[in-house]
Amino acid sequence: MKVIVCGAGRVGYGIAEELASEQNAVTVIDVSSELIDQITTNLDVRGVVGHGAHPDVLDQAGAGDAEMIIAVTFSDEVNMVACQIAHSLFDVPMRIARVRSQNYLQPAWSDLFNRQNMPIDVVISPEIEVGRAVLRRLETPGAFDSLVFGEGLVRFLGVRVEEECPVVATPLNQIRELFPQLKAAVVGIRRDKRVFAPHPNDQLLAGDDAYLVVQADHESRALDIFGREVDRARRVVIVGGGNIGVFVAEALESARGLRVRVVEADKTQAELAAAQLKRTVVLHGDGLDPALLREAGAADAEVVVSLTNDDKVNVLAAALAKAEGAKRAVCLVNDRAYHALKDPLGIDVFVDPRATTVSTILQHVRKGRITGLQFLEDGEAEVLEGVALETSPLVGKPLRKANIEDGIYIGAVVRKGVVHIADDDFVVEIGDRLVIFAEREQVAHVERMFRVALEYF
Amino acid sequence: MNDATRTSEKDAAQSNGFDGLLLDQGVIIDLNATSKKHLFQELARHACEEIDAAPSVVLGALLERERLGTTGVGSGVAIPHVAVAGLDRVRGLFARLGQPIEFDAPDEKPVDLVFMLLAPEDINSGRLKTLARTARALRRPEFREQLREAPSADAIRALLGGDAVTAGG
Repeated sequence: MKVIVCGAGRVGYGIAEELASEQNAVTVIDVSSELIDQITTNLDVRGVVGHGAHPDVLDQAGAGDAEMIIAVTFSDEVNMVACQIAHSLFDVPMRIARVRSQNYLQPAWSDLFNRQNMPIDVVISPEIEVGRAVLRRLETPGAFDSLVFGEGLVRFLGVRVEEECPVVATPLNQIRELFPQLKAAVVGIRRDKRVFAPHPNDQLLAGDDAYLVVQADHESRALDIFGREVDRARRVVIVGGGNIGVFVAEALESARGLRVRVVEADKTQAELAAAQLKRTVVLHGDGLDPALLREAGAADAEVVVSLTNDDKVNVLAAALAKAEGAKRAVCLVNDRAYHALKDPLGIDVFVDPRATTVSTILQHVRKGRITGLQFLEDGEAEVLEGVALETSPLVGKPLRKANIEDGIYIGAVVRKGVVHIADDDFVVEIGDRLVIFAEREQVAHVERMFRVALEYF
Repeated sequence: MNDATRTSEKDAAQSNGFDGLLLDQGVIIDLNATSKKHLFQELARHACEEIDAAPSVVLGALLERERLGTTGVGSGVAIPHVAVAGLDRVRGLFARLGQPIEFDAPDEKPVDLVFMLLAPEDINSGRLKTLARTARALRRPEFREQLREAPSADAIRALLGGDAVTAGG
């Protein structure tokens, strides 16, 4: 697919990198010739120096042939106009814009972004998406990852398998026999830095990260069996009082019985945060100062979340907080190179802002009717939800005859409001929603599974 | 096909049976498109001069259909097809491209022969039968060759069994 990305900053770079690696023809526009130089040197993309909303620049970037525009410059207004021009002058059918200002996104103005008005199909707000990703981690403390699929009926969980886990060293197909009532399946395992979709006779080992799909109301039972049920945090410390930190703190304020403390190094920003937050104490000071962390209550906090815009600060603050006695540390990290530090430093969860944004975009790039998609932290695997359409090779035969390749695990299937855990004999019907775990290399094969035949009208 | 059915070029043409299906301006030759999207823009614009639909809607539908699975069938042929509200029967538009374009076809060959079908939303309109018939006709190598070598739009129309066969055509 031919795609134009406006903006070569951190978000634009991440998107361009991912799209180019999936064989899309990407052209990046930015006013900065330095950023364009850098991105065209490092990635297999074309670059155009210019203003992302100007018609001649878009023309030069190949908007006439483009099937998608992703406008992620720092200016909401440039992004919106770029989408408008792409639609009005170049018939670009899929338009995605980054909109940061909450003002545009208020429910009262929800008519703004549609075909007749401002033709933007998908609005992305990376800060809010990261904030939500953090909140999800806090909501299910027994899991290091938690996602919702199948119209809310299916949960995807990542759990660390401990020594005392009752199903350690038990073949997965036997786990199903042991708990016949439990609608859950282990769809992926991370072991020795490798992620794979397991076979039925594979076993979970202590130290594995297990990825599960589970019927939503069986979640706590599944956590009981595979991981551990942990009480929701009551004391939370947030390092970093910027947009994301304030968003998370504000969301937590609405939950009962929570005590939230925010630490922010910049005085002006700390004052802004304090003004916006009603029930949260904001401390001005360095998140890397152990005395200040102690003052904020890191020692007896169930969770410390580091959300500054500096990866190094986030990683160190998380490690320090754990050393002070915090039970859990959740850490925002942009650079994937730091993922190697997660286990050595005892940090429980890394949140990769790029994974969230890129996932949203890839959902609209992938072939087939894909209704949900999320990269796992390091991008080595993904979980996605797609609808089985008439004439797709999946439909109408038992899964074992559907040529599902290694590295792909069809976990849950939602049919008419009921969750099924698919086994080899399961027959997919038209309209089923499938929640699938796929290793990175198998993404093209997943696309083929959902692809319709010529006869599809 | 045996010799008896090929008694004359006209008979052969009629055996393809696309009479009444093609739009009045339903054959375009030497169409220059730089991409799938550009091609669909051109096809939608042409078609919407004769049918009551908005080009942008037809374009959107064609691209969306393509995302679910390619309509390239191999050997340089594509049969893009979508339902269009308000149509009373299946209509067709044939285009021969000046330069073949990338189409994500199963044999990975670029496409230069495109037969677009626009169909009523009613599933009983015979649209699947028309699609199957179109695919079958274009699967014949000698027919594709004739279409590629035809000197004019009228000649292609005659091959497809349209009604615009002029003297000497």
